[in-house]
Amino acid sequence: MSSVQGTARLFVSLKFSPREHLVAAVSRLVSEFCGLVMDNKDTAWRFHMAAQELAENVTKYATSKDVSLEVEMTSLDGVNVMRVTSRNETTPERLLETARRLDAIKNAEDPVALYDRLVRESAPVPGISGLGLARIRAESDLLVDYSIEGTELSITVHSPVNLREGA
Amino acid sequence: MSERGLTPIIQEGFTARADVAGERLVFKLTGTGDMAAVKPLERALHEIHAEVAHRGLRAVDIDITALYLLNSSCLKALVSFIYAIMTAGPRYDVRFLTDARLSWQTRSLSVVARMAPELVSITAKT
Repeated sequence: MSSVQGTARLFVSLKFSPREHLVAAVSRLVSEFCGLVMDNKDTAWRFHMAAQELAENVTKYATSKDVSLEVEMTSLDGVNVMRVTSRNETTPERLLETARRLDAIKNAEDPVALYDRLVRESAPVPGISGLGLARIRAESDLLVDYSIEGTELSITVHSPVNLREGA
Repeated sequence: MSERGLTPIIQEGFTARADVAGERLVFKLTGTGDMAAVKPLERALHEIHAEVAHRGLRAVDIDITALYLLNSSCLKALVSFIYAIMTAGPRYDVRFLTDARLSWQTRSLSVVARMAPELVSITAKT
């Protein structure tokens, strides 16, 4: 199988109902896969955290009965790239708000400073954190992209990774 | 743990309990801090703040060495806990205990320490 970014070594799509108890199971699958193929436990944890935040986001904000999380490992010229993509349908208002946040996160010259600011701003506000996407970029160093088609939002986190020998 | 008591959190995949040791309250979290843990954690931190004020304790240790995930909503609960100390008082120190082998723990909590460096410290246990 080949994709725009190179030869796919692995592609898994998990389609699930946006229910809280399924989030942990889905993110654990990503974690176990990363732990098996990556040569660095901390890199595997970064993808686990990102998968957890993405899966929680789609569960909280989806308006459709199904959402998905895709895991893709590609290889091009000896460089392996891991991608995790969430897809969900949501409201136009939510799409606008998420796009605004994601543009700020994607284009931030200093993702940690942005995250610190959002944390300070959220501190007095009870309830929903709204910090998950900013956290992914600031804490995991993963790159974040997104696209919107109609009412479907896709968010991808990705990074080159080193694989274990024989993986 | 006291005549007032702090109810331990015991649920599938996540537990938390508080104990007083001298002038410190030690709050130990175990398992996975995911969506199911958020509400119980918020409640427990609220109770801890009241208990520390009631007993006049000087510090709280939050031990996350046995925690394998902390989602952003659980982090937000910790942020709100620190914010309450900063704004409503009483003021006391908060020390996070992390496992030095799990570098994500210190990395995840550093945002809380940056928010209130005068109150919050992180100690990585080897």
